[in-house]
Amino acid sequence: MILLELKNIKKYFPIKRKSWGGQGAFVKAVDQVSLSIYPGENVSLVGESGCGKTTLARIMIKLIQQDSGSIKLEGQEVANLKGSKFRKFRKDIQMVFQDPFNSLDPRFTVFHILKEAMTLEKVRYRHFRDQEQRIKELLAAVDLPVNILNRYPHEFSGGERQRIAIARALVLNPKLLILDEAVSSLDVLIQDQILKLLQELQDKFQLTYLFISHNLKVVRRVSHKIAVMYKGKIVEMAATQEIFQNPLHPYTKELLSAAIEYKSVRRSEDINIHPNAQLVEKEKGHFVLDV
Amino acid sequence: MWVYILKRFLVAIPMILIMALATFLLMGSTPGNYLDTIRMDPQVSEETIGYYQHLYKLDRPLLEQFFYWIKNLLRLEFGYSFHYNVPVTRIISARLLNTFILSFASFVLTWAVAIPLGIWAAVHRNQWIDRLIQLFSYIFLSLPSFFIAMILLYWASQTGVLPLGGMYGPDYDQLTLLGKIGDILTHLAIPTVALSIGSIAALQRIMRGNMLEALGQKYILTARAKGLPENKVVYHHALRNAINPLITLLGYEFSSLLSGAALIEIICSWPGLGSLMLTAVRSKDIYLVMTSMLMGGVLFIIGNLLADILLVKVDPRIRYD
Repeated sequence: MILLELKNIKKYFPIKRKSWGGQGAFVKAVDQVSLSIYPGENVSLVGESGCGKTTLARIMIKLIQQDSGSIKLEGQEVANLKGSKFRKFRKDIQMVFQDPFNSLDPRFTVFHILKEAMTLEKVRYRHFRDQEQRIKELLAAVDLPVNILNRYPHEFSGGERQRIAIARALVLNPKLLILDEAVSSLDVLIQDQILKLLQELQDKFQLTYLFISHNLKVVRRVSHKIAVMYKGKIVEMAATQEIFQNPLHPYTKELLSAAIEYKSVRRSEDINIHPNAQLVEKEKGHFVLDV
Repeated sequence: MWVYILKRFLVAIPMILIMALATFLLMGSTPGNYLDTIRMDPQVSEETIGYYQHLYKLDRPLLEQFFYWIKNLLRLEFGYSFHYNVPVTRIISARLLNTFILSFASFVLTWAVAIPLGIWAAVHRNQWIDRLIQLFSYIFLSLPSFFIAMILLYWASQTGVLPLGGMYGPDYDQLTLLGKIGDILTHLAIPTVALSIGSIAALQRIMRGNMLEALGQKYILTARAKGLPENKVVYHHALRNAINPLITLLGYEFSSLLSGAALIEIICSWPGLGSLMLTAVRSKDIYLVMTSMLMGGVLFIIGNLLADILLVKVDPRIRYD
């Protein structure tokens, strides 16, 4: 069963107000994107900044409403959910943000951060002690000492904060965890620690990750499948090894040559994308946007 | 924390002295003194003037006068008013309550309206309701309060709904306690509204700005992303982070509680301290001015200290060691 299935997601942002009778100008942030995420199969969205990957992630957790397209969580359409069903959906997909220094409310202690996340859970804890027990389990899971409950975010380092943010995201036992550049603001050693931690957590809690990143080295380590985004479209999608060994789309080649040593011709002009271009399966499981 | 408070009080002493000295020198550096007004009366003899000049030490150098005043201050003697010829404390205490009633009413009205309005405007940023609030804020910020008071008084004179000034109605003494309170409240309405309306506009804009800044932070995105209901996002996360500068402002407000609002008091004939002080400055009734200044200064320092202590209570990042 597909965990999360996106079909023809479209989101245009207006950049100019519509003049009378005229057509307004738009940024095509996400343009007819389809993507399927299977349980346990980590997917990475890569691409330059501004290519629409963060917008796509925000549409997945419904921070932004898409213009059109369908989102299915375990086969159920969630695009227009409301009320208690919506909260159930919310619980299953959580997100960790890039900047650990600003993504935690400075007025909340670690305990409050985790406790507030719990208020969305259906199961109310009968006893305060049970709740505290769960919080301590989570802190242990992300390798943080349990005596930090009464401390505030500003008392921690970047790596520690990101662990707190991960613990917070795990409170509700999500099925899919979206990591929006979650390690890119950390230094390499801490990055390594967090990535190891994420791998441990995946085995422990049966998580599926969606990485959003521009760092191909990180992506190579953790993902099974890579989708390359460019100008709001997925231009290539294949298994991680396949992308690295056999990139087919000119943009993917360029991205690889910039990130790692990969022989490629520098492009002289912008890569044009035909408005009606479709993803075509060139080889088994390897999709490329038809140029 | 207690050490910090003690330190703040110790620092406050030279601050008040400097403030007092500056006021004293300013008052003294302009030519003439209160006795000059009396001197113009041909019935008062030179000897009498000379007697009073000696009595009040007005013939001594300015600095000596200042230290004499300080010396008396330490014995809690605030001096005599030249004009009223009674201790200044008696004059001030007679008007203190009136001023406090007006300031406090205006303070409550301002904060009770401006804070929710600012939050509301920020949450509905750039929607028509926000634009409407901002439009009226610009208008009321641009109108001087005395002008608003005059418009209100004109309206009151045309409709007769509210009394035209003063603090008590003519039949005040015959009223029951409840009636007395009601009578004062109806007299209070116009000066309070006139005083508050500009402050509401200003405070609302500050609140809106702080709120917008807080709402743009990443932790708000986090809160929304984890599926928190919007009202919790606004009140638990954004508001708590937006409130700091307002607490500091609250401290400043504390001193204005007893300083009075001269213009409004004069227009609405409210018997407060503001109009009293204006007359005192103009007639060089020096000890009356000094005492009022001292009161304002001490309240200002206490208000600031209270605000700083409050900040520690609400913001875990702030610490004084």
